[in-house]
Amino acid sequence: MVSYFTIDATGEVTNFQKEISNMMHGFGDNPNPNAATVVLVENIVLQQLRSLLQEASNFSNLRGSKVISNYDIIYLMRKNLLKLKRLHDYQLKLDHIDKSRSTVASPSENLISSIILDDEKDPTIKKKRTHIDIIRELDEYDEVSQIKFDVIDYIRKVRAAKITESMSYEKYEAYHKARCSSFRSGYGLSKGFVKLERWINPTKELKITLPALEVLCFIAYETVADIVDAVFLIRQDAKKKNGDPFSKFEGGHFCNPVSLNNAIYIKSGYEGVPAITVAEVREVLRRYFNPKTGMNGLFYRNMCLDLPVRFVAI
Amino acid sequence: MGPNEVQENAIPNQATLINNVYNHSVVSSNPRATVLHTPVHNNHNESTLTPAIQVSSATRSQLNGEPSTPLNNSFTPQTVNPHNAMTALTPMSSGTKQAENSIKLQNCVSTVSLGCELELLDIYCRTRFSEYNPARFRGVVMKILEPRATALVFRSGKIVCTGARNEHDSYIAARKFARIIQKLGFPAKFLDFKIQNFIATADLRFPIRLEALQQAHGQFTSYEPELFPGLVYRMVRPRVVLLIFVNGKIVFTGGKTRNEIHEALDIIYPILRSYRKS
Repeated sequence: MVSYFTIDATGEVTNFQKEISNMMHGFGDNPNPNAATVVLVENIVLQQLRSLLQEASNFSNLRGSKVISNYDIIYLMRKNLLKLKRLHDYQLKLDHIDKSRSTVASPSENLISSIILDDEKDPTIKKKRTHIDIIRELDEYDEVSQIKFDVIDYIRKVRAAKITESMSYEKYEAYHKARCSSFRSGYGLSKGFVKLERWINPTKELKITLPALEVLCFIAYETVADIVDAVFLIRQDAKKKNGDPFSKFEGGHFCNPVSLNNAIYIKSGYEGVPAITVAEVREVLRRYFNPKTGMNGLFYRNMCLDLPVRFVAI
Repeated sequence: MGPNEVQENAIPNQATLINNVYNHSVVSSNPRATVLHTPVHNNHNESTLTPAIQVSSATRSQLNGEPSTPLNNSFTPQTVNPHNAMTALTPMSSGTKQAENSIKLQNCVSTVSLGCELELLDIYCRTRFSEYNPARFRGVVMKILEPRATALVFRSGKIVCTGARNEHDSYIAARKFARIIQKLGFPAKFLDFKIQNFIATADLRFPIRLEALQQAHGQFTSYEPELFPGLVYRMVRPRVVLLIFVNGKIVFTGGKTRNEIHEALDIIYPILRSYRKS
């Protein structure tokens, strides 16, 4: 299915349908996600990223800069502390992985920086402004560092562990492959975002820096994850039966931290998970963007009463 | 008659001789003794290794009955088929041993100081197989073929030697680099040679459920499949970083000695065993 959004200026199609389908599998959807749902999720992610870029470019214009840097995008995320914390951790992990990978590939890199160049500091290596620096700057009350426990991460990991518990090796291998997919096309830091950039910025009208693309990649991944998480939440609501207090602990939707405390009740269901339908994704979006859900709504993100936030992942 | 007698007399001798040869060949045919341990550590390792091998060969001959194969010339007719008394014993080593044997050193990084300032451009111009591009990297990259190794030579006179397969090769290579620079006319010495990092791989030959390992060892591990397909396990003691993959392959980095890598494997093996995916 080719949609309007996936056709870029040159007429050649760039899409992330395969990756998104793999991601949904990785987050706990059926091994063969519904094709229509995948297209819908792809459209949602693309729209979110493009409107995010629009806003970011407005901010960067206000700041008087010609390119969209990671500062502008993180500035848009500033209201959601949990996501800032996640981005913070994301960079820590990324740095650590890069370090351990570079010791394997060419071990000289970190040795040089640690022992050889103590006296002669390399002027060619520019200190780039990392996401963590920006987060520290934007987070005036130091609230991000107060968050010690990443609930979202914990829930996703418990779900993945539960899902894999009763899997055969062949299925596990496929599942692992699915989990490895992301919006970056390679593992290298610089080369990985070509496809993403072609997807969100086909005409190259906006100039986006590499760190900004890294944040966008994170946000895109989070968007898919959040949608799938919310679908499980909706399913849990839908399955609630009157008079059966344990009905919500039945297999297939491990998302509620309260139900995770009663870990014995969680069945490690996997085969039985029906593929996420288009209707369920639409319901998720309705709940995200429905202003009537109000301040107490589960999905309510905007704590101050200015303009409603229109982004799922932020 | 004469020749027969002689032959009969000769039989026990021959049998023991064959037995000796057999035992001997067991000792020498163990490839790990020669492959895994390099000449540098030999005098140290030999003493620990050989008793173990002798014990194992002794137990093996006990299990099988003394001459392991019935030789044609020592065969005597028996009432019972000797094959019935035999139990098939396949030589099985424990999983830990198998994993230990699969450890393969891939790279060894060492540093050495030559104790003098170097003129990098001069070195670059007067040596073969060297690269120097100050805009990209402030050091001469030199290569030698025997042992195959690459050195990064810095102005301060420090050398990082990488690419050698083991510590011995790394040492030889570092000496050769120092000698090359010495021959160019620098007053090079060979100070504080140190192995900085070993990179080794091992294969456990069973798949591992990384999610469960991540859940149980959360404070040591980081597993983000969308960033990197392996699980990064930071072991505290010995201080080694392990990259563990779903198919049971492990990469060790950060170990300063061979022992640290073996220790790390000994520690991690039972853990990974319990998260085996059948």
